[in-house]
Amino acid sequence: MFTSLLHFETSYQLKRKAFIGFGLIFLVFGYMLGSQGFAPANVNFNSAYQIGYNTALTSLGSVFAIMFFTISGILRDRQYKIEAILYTTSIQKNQFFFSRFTGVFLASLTTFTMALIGFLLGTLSPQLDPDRLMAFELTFYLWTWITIVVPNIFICTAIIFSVGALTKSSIATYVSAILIYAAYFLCSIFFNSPLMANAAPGAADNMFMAAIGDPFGLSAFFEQTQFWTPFEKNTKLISFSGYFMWNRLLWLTLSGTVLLAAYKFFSFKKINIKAKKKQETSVEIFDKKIYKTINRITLDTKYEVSSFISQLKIDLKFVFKSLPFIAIILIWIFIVASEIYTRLYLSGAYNDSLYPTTNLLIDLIKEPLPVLSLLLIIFYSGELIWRERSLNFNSIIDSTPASNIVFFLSKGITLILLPFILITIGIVIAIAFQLSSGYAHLEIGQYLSMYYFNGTGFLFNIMLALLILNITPNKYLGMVVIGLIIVIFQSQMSGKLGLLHPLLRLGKFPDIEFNNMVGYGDYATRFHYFAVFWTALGIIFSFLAFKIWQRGATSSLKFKPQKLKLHWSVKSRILITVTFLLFIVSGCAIFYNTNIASDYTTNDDVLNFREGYELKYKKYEALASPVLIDIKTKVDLYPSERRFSIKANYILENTSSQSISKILVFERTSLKEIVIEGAKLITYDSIYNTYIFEFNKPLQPKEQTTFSYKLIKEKNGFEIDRSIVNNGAYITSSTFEPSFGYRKGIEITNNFERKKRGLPEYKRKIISDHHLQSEEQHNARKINFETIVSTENNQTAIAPGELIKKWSKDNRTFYQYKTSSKIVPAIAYFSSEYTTRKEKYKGVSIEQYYDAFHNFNIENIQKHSKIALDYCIENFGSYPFNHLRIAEIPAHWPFGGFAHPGTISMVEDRLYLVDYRNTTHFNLVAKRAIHEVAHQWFGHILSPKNTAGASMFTEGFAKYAEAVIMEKEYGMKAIRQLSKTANRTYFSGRSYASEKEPALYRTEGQGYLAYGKNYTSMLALRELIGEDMLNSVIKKMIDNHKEDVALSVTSLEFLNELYQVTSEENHKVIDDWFKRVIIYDVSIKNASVKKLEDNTYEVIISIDANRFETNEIGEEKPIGINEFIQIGLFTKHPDNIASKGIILLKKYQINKKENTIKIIVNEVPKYVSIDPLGSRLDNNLLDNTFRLN
Amino acid sequence: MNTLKIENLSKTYSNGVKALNNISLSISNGMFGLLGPNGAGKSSLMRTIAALQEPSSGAIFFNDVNIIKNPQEIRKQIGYLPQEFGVYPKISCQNLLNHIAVLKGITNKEERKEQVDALLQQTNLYQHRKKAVHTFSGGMRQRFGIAQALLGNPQLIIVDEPTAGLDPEERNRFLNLLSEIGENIIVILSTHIVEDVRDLCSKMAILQQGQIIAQGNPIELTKELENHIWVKTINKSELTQYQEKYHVISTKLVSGKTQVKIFSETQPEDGFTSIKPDLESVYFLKLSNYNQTITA
Repeated sequence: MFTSLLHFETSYQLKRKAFIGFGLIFLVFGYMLGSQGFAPANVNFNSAYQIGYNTALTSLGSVFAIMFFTISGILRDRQYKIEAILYTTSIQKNQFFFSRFTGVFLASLTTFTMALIGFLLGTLSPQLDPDRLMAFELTFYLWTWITIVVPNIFICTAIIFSVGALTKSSIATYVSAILIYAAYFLCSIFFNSPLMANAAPGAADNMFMAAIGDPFGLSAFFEQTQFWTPFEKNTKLISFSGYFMWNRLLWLTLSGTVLLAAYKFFSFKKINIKAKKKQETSVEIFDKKIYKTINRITLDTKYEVSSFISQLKIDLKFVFKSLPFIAIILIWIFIVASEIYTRLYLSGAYNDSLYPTTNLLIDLIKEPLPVLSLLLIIFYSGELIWRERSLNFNSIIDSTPASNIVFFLSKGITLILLPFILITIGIVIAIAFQLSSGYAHLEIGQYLSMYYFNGTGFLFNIMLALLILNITPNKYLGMVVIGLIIVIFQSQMSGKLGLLHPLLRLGKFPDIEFNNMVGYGDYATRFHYFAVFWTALGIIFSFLAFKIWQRGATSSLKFKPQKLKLHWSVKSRILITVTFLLFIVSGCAIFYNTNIASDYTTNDDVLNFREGYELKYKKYEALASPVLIDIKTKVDLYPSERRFSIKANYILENTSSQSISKILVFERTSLKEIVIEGAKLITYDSIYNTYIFEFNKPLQPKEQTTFSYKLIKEKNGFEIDRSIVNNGAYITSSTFEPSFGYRKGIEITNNFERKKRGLPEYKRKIISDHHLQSEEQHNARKINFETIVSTENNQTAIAPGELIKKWSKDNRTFYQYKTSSKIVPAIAYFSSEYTTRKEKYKGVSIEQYYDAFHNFNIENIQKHSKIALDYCIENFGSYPFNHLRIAEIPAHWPFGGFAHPGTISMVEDRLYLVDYRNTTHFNLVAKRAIHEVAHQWFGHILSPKNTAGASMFTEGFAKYAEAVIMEKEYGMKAIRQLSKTANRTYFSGRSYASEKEPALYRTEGQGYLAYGKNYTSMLALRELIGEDMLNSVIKKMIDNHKEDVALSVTSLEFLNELYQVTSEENHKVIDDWFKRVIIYDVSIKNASVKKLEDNTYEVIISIDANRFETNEIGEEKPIGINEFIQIGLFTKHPDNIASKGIILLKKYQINKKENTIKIIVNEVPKYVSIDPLGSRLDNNLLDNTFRLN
Repeated sequence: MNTLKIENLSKTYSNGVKALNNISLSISNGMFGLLGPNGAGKSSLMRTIAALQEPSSGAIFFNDVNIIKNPQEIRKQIGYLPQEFGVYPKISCQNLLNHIAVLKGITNKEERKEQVDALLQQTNLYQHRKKAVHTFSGGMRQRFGIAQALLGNPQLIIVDEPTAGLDPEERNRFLNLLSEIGENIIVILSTHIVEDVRDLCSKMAILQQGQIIAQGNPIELTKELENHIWVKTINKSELTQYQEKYHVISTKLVSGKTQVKIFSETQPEDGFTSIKPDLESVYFLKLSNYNQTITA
């Protein structure tokens, strides 16, 4: 019986159109993912990691199919009203329940498996770089299928099916599906899954919750693989262990239990009829009224209005009292509140908090808004527009004289209210957060602008939905079509489908960025154009929808064009003509501003440019170029007009050993004028922005000449320029300054792309130690710098150098800056409405320039700038300038701060808006201030040769100084926080590394080495030789090189200095840290404490210690260990130790895999920790600390 | 006096089904019965009159206004009770009537309340007015249906199969209500139940396969058959013989035996007794005549 039922059920499901439809969708989707060639650098497209990653993400879509199959699997008897017949047969409850369940499960599993097959087929696509494809591995697919696909489908099916079976309501079934999504959504917020586009990884305990709580296991997948190197991603299968295993087991058990419980409570063979309440027999006494017809009926405007209001009440009541709406509202409240809380409070990279500024909160609200809004819009547009027809109430309503406009407007406005309500709730929660955290600077105007900037897109989609649902023959098809249009045109998918031009992306509104200093800036203008364009189209859509509004019996599609032709009133003709003109005009304006006024470049255009440049100019690669040694500029900034002009006079010197006869100039911003003394322009290539000059008489070595140019930078079309903005202009020389010589950086580096274009293979320069040391480098020198920079009167302009003179003329203020000594040419011009704080400290004027509203941390910055100055002057030598300027720049800059000579730029939300009101937390403000001040020594006074390993002197030393000073000020807990972050930076950075990890002393552009490994290695070095010794080595480097005009110091020189002051045997560990790629895994296995007779305490600690070295192909091999590592005994958790609580901190020799160490101390320790300061790279720092009983 | 004139009305659906085939009718005040078997096209005709669907050809004039071209004209004056209808769930009977009243153009609040209350009383729904219509029994629901059809100022009321599924008492009450209101306006009653027409209508038409196969006054139509209808109780096995020999218009079981009813202008063989024709005989005769012309 069961088998035949199951057979029937499966074949029933498999024969349905929906089955084929979903199967096809998944197949195509899988194919697209597979053939896209999307994978992190160096990870194979068909590696187990990629298969698992893509499959797990795609499995989110399975819920739709499951929901559909469940409704047809369990609710069809009721829909088709054959319950009564079915229940009179001899089917048993268990046979019925489980055959239906299995049918739904198998149908869902089969359709979804198509995604995996599609992916496999996709990887066979010839578009893919064959070097990044590995041989087909069946186990990769099978393992993914077993650990991800089958469990996910089972979990979702069991839950959705149970809800469907118990409630027998399709609405409740939708809601259960939405709740499963909500669980995923929340987990991904906690974990910052890649779908949510956030860089900062979640905190450890959040990670645990997310990994366990996500029904799709995605967060657990990311948790397990977060530190996998490309090598591991290519070779390892996700292991059924840890959180991933617990997640799978937990959810399988949970969903299995739900299914069994549903089976138990499932009432089979009872048709669900509510017993009618006993009719109340009390006789009502009422006035007898006689029916009379009402003759005075006038169908006027008043009538239209009151019918509209009456209909609107009914539609609103329906939506507001329905389960999916209430569920989504609750989910929304939960998401917004938890998102705001988790992002604001201790969630930064350093466990830091932020002030709840309005723009930050709006960013948090707008991120999850589209998903929920669009879900509501798609679902309710179908439900509302088809409501009367689904209920079979349409013939009564449609035979009334009420005009279509009544229904059209009522449904439209009800739909518009949905996103409106979501946004309003978000705003209320945000304001509540601001008030409760004592932040009273409410910017209501900014909140209101959300309705426009974040709501207009929904308005378009509603108008689109109105049209689609009036065209399609049933509501489900309509809902699917709307969903597909949104995904295809408005999501990331459109780029992959070749829909790149913004005019082609139906209903896609441009992104908006807001920060406190700039406001909406140039983003707003662009948005206005698109808002007009799409809204005009939306109005045309809804007008058409209104024309073909379904009334009476459904007419088939082919009659609709006829309907369109009927009844065009003069008013509607005018309206539609005006709207159409608006659409065309705004479309043209957008086209003009996108393609003509500014450069519209596709990815292909960029590649063509790079190829063409290489082909044309590669021959000049060996040409020597002169070098800047003196810069004088005149800069006029017009922030309110988004414009600046520059006149520059440079002195160039031939620092090479050969004479220069030709010179190649590449313009970054087009130049108005360019003159090189003694040389004439031979060609100007406007396609590749390149000038070639030829000297009348070749420039001999050491000979100098002058170079001058003029440029005007203006905002073109929709171009968004972060540097010149109305308030917070920050223009660095690297964005406009012409450069000399062939630019190797323009070449295409991807070898697959090069092969397609017939270019020779790209070879990275292999740098040998000999090269590091001896390679002649003549393209950078310390320079003299002088500028006159002017800006609008209400703003202050800043540039490096001493302020010589300041004057006003023609409503503009002029500032003359000049450097007193030679500086590294890292020049920037600032202009903003700044509030200033100036203080003379030991001969240095500490000057802060900041936005008036951002005054929370000014004293904190001031204090730590002084501390940093003191420490650096004492240990590393004198400070060369009479000023130290710290100037605020807008939050759109993606870095923490940047040190120019004597002048530091600091980003508003990374420093000024950090909330350090709770002083027990990590003082991120201090950390950033110290770091940038330290760069004045490390990067400016001591500036390394621009080659591999240079970051040791800049970031390495600055991070070191930051750690040492923070430890002095805030104790162990501060340095532990820095170590945690550096560790994470290292491990997550290298997991997405695009090239093989070099040894530290040969770091090139790798941020994870610069900010991660440099830090730990410097700390390890300090443990090895002590702070004083290390500082004296650094000081020696500075003393040797501070007078250099050519930047020449290299990492090898530093290592040699270290060898000088260390014993032979220590050279080996120094080499381990700096010259090899080694990671550690140390942990305390167990520890116990015993009180001895003499009132001392004996602590016995067993320690596991392993080291792994990464070999040529990226594989990590265990190697032995033999070095001294610190062990600490504490009276409280080291994370909470500022000054008191350290019983012992001492180095012990660790030379085996398993070590036992016995320590006797006078005080009873509560915690024991190996490497408590985090000076070794170890991707699990938690097991380094052990709590004693 | 209201007039409804239907001229050469045809409707062919996109799948090729001819639902209405060249129908012409002229109807004035009073109850008009539209009789026909299931699928004859009654509902299509009703919907077309109610401007819920457009005909493929032909015209309908209500009080000389072409309502195909001006559907709004008929919507102002029609009360329509469809064969089957659903309602918004969770909205009380009174509120729903009120809503429909607004849509029908009764903008004055007092007038609306007055009429809704009167209708609730007249349809015996007053004590149930706070209950949601979707919880109503079949009879109550039909009464609600007629109440909504009477809202406003209806000059033409169309009721499509209103008595199907009602118990005899409900049906009586319902028909009484209809006849009360049918004096000064046009009421078109579409049904396949002969008694409904017989009891109420002064005029009628029979519709079969989209065509009018008979029309007139029920009594006169019945009279035409005087002395031409005969019955005989026979064995079931003999039925085929009789069907070959006579124009059998209907058979029915009476106490387990088969009774055949035939049409014959002369006295048939022994055993047949003449009976007084009733409207049912007319109906069955017309249908069987029509079917013969089709097969012939």
